[in-house]
Order: sequence, then structure tokens, then C-alpha cells
Amino acid sequence: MLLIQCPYCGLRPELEFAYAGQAHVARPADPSATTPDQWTEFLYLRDNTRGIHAERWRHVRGCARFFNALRDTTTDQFLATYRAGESMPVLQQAGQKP
Amino acid sequence: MADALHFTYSPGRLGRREGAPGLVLQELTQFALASVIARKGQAAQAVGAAQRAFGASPPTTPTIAAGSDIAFVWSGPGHWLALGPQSTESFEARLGTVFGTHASVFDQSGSRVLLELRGPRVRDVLAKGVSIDLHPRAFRTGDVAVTTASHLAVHLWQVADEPVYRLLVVRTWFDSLWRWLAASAAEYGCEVMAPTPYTL
Ligand SMILES: [Zn+2]
Repeated sequence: MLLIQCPYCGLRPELEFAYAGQAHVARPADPSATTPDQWTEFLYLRDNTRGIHAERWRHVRGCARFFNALRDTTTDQFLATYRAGESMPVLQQAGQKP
Repeated sequence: MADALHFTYSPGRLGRREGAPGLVLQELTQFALASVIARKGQAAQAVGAAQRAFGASPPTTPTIAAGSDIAFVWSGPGHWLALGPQSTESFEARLGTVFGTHASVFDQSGSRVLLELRGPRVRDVLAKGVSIDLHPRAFRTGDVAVTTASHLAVHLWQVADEPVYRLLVVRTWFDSLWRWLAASAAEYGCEVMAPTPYTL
């Protein structure tokens, strides 16, 4: 069973979690100055990374909190998890924990 | 096989009859329950207020903290379930006075069923529907998990090294939980004790 480190609860089975899309997608700060193309970018366009991807997860069947994770999309290995609002951890080397 | 799924919930022995029961189950009744959710940026103040008033510090990690007549079960960051014996005094009002503007308090009394589980095979029974690691190196007395049992959301915590666990489940889900628990415990034998009033 794949275990995921919830930043609040610790190691928990994957079935307690839900994927919640790409992380660090910031809403435009000034909506009135945002062009339709920029809205399209914010609302619909996402990276399709092969390799390390920063993404949101939710511990929906546990503490219910959202958090962020760095996951390698080719191996499904979670390289790091961190609380929402914290900056993305710097990985020492691809495939290694920071 | 059909019988295994239709055990009535009542005091007595079910499943294997030979030897000591692998699981001993007892419902704890007459407890007051409330959720306490810290307001934005007020978690530390909420913890401090409870510490001063109850002698119990609402935990910031998945654990349980008990004072003289109240226990705080971690439920998420800045979120706890408060448990105490039933009394004529309003539990919600008592908590509300202490937490003031630091936290929102909601009475949940009657919304959950609280079970105490023990016996030599209790871990084997739980392993059939609880996917977290309950081995003592991973989960000890005082530890709390907000997790699922047979796909139902529960709060589970350990109260003694024996081990003894307590499991809190939404009342309307108890029937589903019981079907799973009874079927899971049948092969080890299960003794259902008469309900007893809650103590910390
Ligand atoms: Zn969690």
C-alpha cells in the first residue's frame, strides 16, 4: 500500500487521500486588470509534467486538511509533503528526499 | 454464512464459543461531546485558555489530553473533540465560557457512539477494516487517529497498553460498523458487555 506523509497526521494509507490538482497556482491579484487570456491560464491551463510535480492533496478521510506534495509522476514516489502556505522545499537531487 | 452478518447488538457472546473471547466490546454511554474549533490565528490562545480552566492542554499533535473531568481528542490542527461525563450543566456553555472568542464550540452530544475495545485479538479485528498501523512502534497509548473503519469515518485512540482502544463513530453509522465488527470478530469470539457510563 502506498503511504503518504500527511504534514499533520503522519504516514497514512493512500486511500485516505484525494488529489486536488496542481499546487502554487496563484489567483490573479487584481481581477479587473486581468486579461481573458490570463484568466484562461489561471482557470484551465495546467502543467503536464513528466517528473517532479508540485501538487495539492487533501487528507480527506483523516484530518481533512489540504497540503502540498512533490511527487514524481513517472514513479508515483512522494518526495516531500509540506503544509499549505509553506514554500516548495528544495530537493537536493532528483529522486532524493530534501 | 448469512448468520455472521446478522449478529444482533446486545450483551452476550457471539462467534466462536470456545475459550476466552478474542474481542471484548463495551459501549460507553452518558457522555457529553462538543467540537472545539480555534478561530483564525487563535489556536495558541485557545490551548492556553483550556489549560488554565481544565488543566488539560488541547493537543497540537494527534493525541488525547485529559484533565480532571474533560478530555480533548485531537481532530485536526486547531480542531478538537471535547469529551466529558454527562451533567445537568450545559457542556457547550461551560466550554464556550472558557474559550470565549478564541474558538467556536458546538454541542455534539448524542451524535456519536463510543465503544471500548480490548482483548487478545483486538488488533487482528481492527486490522480487517482499519488501514493504519496499530503496532505499538507506530501507535501507542494516548495516540489518536482520525481515520476510517470499514470505510466509515471514525476517531480511534488507545487508552491502555494492553491494548485498549476507544472508537467514536457517527450514531447513524453504528449499524454498518457493527455488522463489520461482528463479522470480523466472529472467528475469535466476541463478548459484548452491558453498556456502562463513560469515564475519562
Ligand atoms: Zn491528516
